[in-house]
Amino acid sequence: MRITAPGRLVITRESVEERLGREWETHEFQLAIVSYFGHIKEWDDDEIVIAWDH
Amino acid sequence: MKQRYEALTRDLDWEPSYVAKSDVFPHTEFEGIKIHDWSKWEDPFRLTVDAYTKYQAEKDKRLYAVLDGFAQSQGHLTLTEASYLNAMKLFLQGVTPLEYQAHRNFAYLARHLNGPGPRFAALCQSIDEMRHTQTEIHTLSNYNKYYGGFHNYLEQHDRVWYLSVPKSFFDDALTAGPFEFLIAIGFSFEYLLTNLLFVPFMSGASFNGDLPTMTFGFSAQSDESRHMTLGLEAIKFLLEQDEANVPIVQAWIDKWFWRGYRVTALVAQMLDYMLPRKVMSWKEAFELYFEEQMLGGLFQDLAFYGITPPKHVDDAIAEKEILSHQVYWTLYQFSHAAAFTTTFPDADAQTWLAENYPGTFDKLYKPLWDKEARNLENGGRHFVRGLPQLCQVCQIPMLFTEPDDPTTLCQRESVHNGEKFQTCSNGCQWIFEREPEKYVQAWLPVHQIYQGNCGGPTVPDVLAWYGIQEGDGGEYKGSVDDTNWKSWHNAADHSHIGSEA
Amino acid sequence: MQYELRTQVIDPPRKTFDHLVRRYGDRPASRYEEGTIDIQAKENFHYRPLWDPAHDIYDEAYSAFRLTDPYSFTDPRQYYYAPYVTSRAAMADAVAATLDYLDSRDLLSRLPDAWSSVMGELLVPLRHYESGAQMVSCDIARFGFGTTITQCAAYAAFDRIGNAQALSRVGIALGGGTAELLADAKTRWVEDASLQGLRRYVEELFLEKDWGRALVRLDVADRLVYGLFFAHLDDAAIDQGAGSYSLVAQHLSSWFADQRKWVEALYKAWVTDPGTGAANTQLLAVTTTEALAAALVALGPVAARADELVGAAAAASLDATATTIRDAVAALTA
Ligand SMILES: [Fe+2]
Ligand SMILES: [Fe+2]
Ligand SMILES: [Zn+2]
Repeated sequence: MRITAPGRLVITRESVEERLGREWETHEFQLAIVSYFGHIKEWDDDEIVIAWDH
Repeated sequence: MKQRYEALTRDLDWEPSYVAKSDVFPHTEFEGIKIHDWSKWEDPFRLTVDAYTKYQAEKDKRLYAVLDGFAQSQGHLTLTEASYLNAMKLFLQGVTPLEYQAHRNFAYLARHLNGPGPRFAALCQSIDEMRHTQTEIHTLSNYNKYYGGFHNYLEQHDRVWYLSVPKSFFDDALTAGPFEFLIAIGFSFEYLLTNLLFVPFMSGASFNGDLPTMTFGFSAQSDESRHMTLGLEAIKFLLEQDEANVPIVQAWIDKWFWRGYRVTALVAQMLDYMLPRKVMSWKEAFELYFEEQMLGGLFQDLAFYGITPPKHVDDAIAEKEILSHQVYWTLYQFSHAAAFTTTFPDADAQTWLAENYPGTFDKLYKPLWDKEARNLENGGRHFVRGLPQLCQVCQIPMLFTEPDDPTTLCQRESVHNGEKFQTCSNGCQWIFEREPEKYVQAWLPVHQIYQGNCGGPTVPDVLAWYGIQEGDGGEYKGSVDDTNWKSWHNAADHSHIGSEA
Repeated sequence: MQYELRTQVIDPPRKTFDHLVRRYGDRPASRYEEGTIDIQAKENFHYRPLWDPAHDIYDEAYSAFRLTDPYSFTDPRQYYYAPYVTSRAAMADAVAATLDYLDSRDLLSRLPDAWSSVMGELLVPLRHYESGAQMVSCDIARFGFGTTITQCAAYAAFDRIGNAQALSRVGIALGGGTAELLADAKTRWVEDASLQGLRRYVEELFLEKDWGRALVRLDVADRLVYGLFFAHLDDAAIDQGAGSYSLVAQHLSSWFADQRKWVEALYKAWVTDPGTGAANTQLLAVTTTEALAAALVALGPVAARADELVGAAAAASLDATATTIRDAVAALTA
């Protein structure tokens, strides 16, 4: 599965937990990704933001 | 998370006062890179040791369960065909030792970079790369038990002519300074070219029934996302620290793009010729992963810093429809001296090639194979008995053609200290002339054979020195692998329990 | 297509890779062996390092310690990556459980004041010592000769960051959930008279270019530091009603026991090597003796400060460890 978004892509803990129906740590994202393209701007407890900051 | 991470990772550093700082970090000045504030290095992953070990242990548990299951159930018999494993032989011989080289040199960065943030990121990558080395060996170890070509991969990486292509590439990076290494491997290899170097092998595995390699690949790729981030962070950091860094970094991008791109020549032929079930053509992969994502995406973003697309990128684009054909045609004729087999592309394969390369295959390469078909009919499969001349930089046989003329061989000559050196392309010539003192040192396999350093003067002497056994190389049809594969399948119960996956 | 193989047994033509057959004979190899033995490139290096043209990329001349066959040493723990991270994940879990427990019962704030000071003034600043040890271990991981050795060093380097982070966590817990005490500990590491000897020892160690000597010098300091903080003071803490110190110390002491397994095995391989054993023995004795003298100077003030705070005969314990090390050296050259 491939996801693309123009400019900015945000993955929030809340929305993943909602869909999974269980608790989810953003670090767990690493078990799921195969490859990515872009710049990881933020990665904290609540969200992962892929975007350029300029 | 950010504060906690910073407290746990960043503040570990202190200014030395009993010894000079430049003695503690003796390698970060000679390259001319200027760093004013190491704390500006961002590590978006913010992984601490406990989280790292937890997730990595979980990933390995899953991976080794797949490897064990596959081995126990004789899973190798469910591959599309034994010839598929040629791609994996190339991988184990050519790529796995590079993972190990990366492991060692990221440990070097984890010691010799001045900032604790990048040191920790480099340390994680160092042990990740050890993971990749070992999981690749463990994944392919099972195939080694049944098939040729895998058994002597370590010695071969150090000795065999076509493996000096990846070996010299990584040796080049390891002998550079820490910042050049960051751009060479962290950025160019892990970010710019990873989807052309690494991913095609994994996609090939998934299309050809190789569940272990596919599982390994996905598992490794989740580490790669961290490595890609480190590479991108490295380049941003260097560019933001000082304007004077920009031209230095640009020259490294120019060098390492071409250096890495030449290594992908081996991948190109693998994608187009070695996979029984094709994934996508080299041309398509190049257009998607390089032209679209990198030139169309990444370099647009890097333009902000004054970085332009790599020099000689047009030469690479110009040869995207001819590269794989030229390389495979050469390997086909030299595979008697290799630890993989090659074979004539059958009618289906040729149809696929013609469809995917409408501008070049029928016109330029089909005639070669037609001629070879006549040789085969007469019982004379073609092998070249001589030794090819190698490019002084990329070490690929001089098989490439002029950028604007696919029928004229490209040959560049440079003179250094009165001696002549041959290169295969504008890119390799430019690299040579930028650092001739480095490239004159190259251990060129063909020169070494002529000088008598490779086991003896005859081909059998050299093959013995390579540790090549009967069935490792040459023609696939009728080879040991082919024969075993057929007999194992004839002995097996052929009741179909599932159709093509 | 998928085929079902009923009872067919295929005898694999090969048991393992050639280099392992050459070394161990024609038998199946373990995952540790396949993933470790002979992995470091051996020959035909293409270029010399720009920063050290006198050496090859991998070169035994990076140290005076030599093994005739670098793979005569193997890790007694047989760690390759998977078992290594699995074991460390379990260690990290145990540390987290301790910290959670200390936190839930508010045990750190109930420590006797003097022990609270030992932790804040002396123990937490050791995170910088661990961070220095990481750098030294990384030098060994890059410049060491032979994958069995460098693999141990790389994992040890990672362990050191783990230790530093565990100590940092203790500091955060001790500081009531803030990083204040960590900032304080850093100032102490840089300024406190009692810690300057140790800091100097680490800084001087950064300049050691011979990875074998660096390994020995670090190990000597480690034995004194770990002996003092995680064995001797651990006992004293229990005696003096500072059980939570001991709850923390147990993790570092069991890590150190694990660490010393491979270091001791390497020493053994060095001194028993049929070709280079005599030279290595001499070198090990001299290096250890020199390092011990310097490390005692470095750690004397640390022990003295501990004694000032909790009167635990720390200085005497340091001497006892030193005697053990001297005895081991004497046994080497006897
Ligand atoms: Fe890797
Ligand atoms: Fe990587
Ligand atoms: Zn070239």
